[in-house]
Amino acid sequence: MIGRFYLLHMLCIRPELTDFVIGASCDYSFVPEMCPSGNVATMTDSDQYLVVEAQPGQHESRFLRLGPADPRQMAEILSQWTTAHHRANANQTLVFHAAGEWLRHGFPAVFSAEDGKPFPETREITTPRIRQLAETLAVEVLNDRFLSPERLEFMLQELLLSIVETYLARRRGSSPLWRGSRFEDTRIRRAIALLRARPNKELNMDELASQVGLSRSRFYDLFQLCTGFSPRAYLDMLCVETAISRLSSGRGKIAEVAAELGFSAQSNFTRFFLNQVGVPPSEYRRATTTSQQRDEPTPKPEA
Amino acid sequence: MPDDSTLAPSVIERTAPPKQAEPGLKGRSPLTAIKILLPVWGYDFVQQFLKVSLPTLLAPGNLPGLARLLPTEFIFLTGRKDEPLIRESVGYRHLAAICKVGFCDISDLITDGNHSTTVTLAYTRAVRRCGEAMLDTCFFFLVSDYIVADGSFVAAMQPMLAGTSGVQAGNFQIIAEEALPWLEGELARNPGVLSLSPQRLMRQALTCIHPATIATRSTSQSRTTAIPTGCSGGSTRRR
Repeated sequence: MIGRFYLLHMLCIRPELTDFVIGASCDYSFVPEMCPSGNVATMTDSDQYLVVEAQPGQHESRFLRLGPADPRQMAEILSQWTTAHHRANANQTLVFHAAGEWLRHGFPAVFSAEDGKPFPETREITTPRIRQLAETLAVEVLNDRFLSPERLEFMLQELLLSIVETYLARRRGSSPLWRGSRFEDTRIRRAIALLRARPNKELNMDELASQVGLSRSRFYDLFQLCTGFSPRAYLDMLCVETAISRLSSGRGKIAEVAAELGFSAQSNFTRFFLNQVGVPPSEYRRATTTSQQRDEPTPKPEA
Repeated sequence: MPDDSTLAPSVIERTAPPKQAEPGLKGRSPLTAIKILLPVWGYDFVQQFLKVSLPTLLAPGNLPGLARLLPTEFIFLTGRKDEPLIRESVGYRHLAAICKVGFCDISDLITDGNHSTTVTLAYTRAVRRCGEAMLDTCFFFLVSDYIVADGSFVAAMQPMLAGTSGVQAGNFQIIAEEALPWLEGELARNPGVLSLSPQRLMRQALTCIHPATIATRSTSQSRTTAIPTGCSGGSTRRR
């Protein structure tokens, strides 16, 4: 009886729930995800059930080391089989927990004490913006020696704002979603959206104020009241967030990141980043990508 | 670093609002349908499936047996350009005579590599497309290189009909180049439908075990058991 002792494959399933989430790139996770009760039978008799897979002889050959088992060799094979990305995910789980009081303080009309379930869905689709914010936040938290409390507060606020805008604003329609929150003023929310759309140091704040129908002084006052930051400081934060996202992902040269953010020279960007984060961009990039460069992902064989 | 979106299919293709089976699953209604999901794309893989794998699925105790139990649909999860190739084949006509046959386009999921992710996403798409009816449907998840012994599918349906939510089973790999001449010889004698008893398939499979299977068994202490080195008679259950 070979099958029993070899890899078990998932043959058939009657799902127990419709909103299952596939959290892995491989169908081995189907059983726990679609059948959380664990009510699963195993075919143990090859006289009743037998399936073999006819695969080319060379399939997976580069992962095979025939002969006596050598733990060191096995470890090396396994480390090739799993990618650095998999290992990174396996080693670190970042859970974002927002305290009810903090949420109520930020958005009293949404997160009232009476409403036990402000979010209608238990799971939501991650938008590119929220993914970027979450990943940047993760990078920052994992490299907390570079993270200032002010920037952490800014990023948490951005994340929360994006979550509210994405998952609640469109569903609640005309309900007083923003009432009582610091973001009640639609003109400031529009200004924030414009800033976010393309963070750029060359952006003219006078033009931005005009775009949202406010005088410069009124715009500065309202913006500070709403976000806790001046428009210029807010823009700086957005530029830092974008720079961190690019640098930590290894996408683009530092000069390209500088140009994208509107710096006329890379040296200006370096000075700005050093001032905001505490280390030059080159050092930040090194600190966040060293482990990834050490373990370049290796293609995973087919399951 | 790979693009995360290709590796984390956790949030794709939500369709219907969530529904959960009855608490405890004791009172689940009877199964109403069977859907066989087969992801396959690319000329060579489609050809191998039609030529070798499909005839074993058409054995009496596999797809025909399922179709006798419940309304059964065989769904090809395939690329747009592969569909005509499948439809024009003799095997397709055999299949369509047994059960309903459908196609689900997965052209957007097919990439040059990372096939297991494509397969996973394809399965997920087909299941989610059923909406709430998925709760009363038994899905079979196949791959194109399976050689299935006659009676296996009907045997797997027994626990499903008795109320389990899933069936898992062991399998192992064999070397296609070594198994194909034998399989083709069998097919020449029985064109279109290949009924192999589990014992007969096991006997043949043991002559061409894939190095990956041998390696797994040789190196994993938790799976130590003797591989039969020869098979006399019909039984292969040796421990």
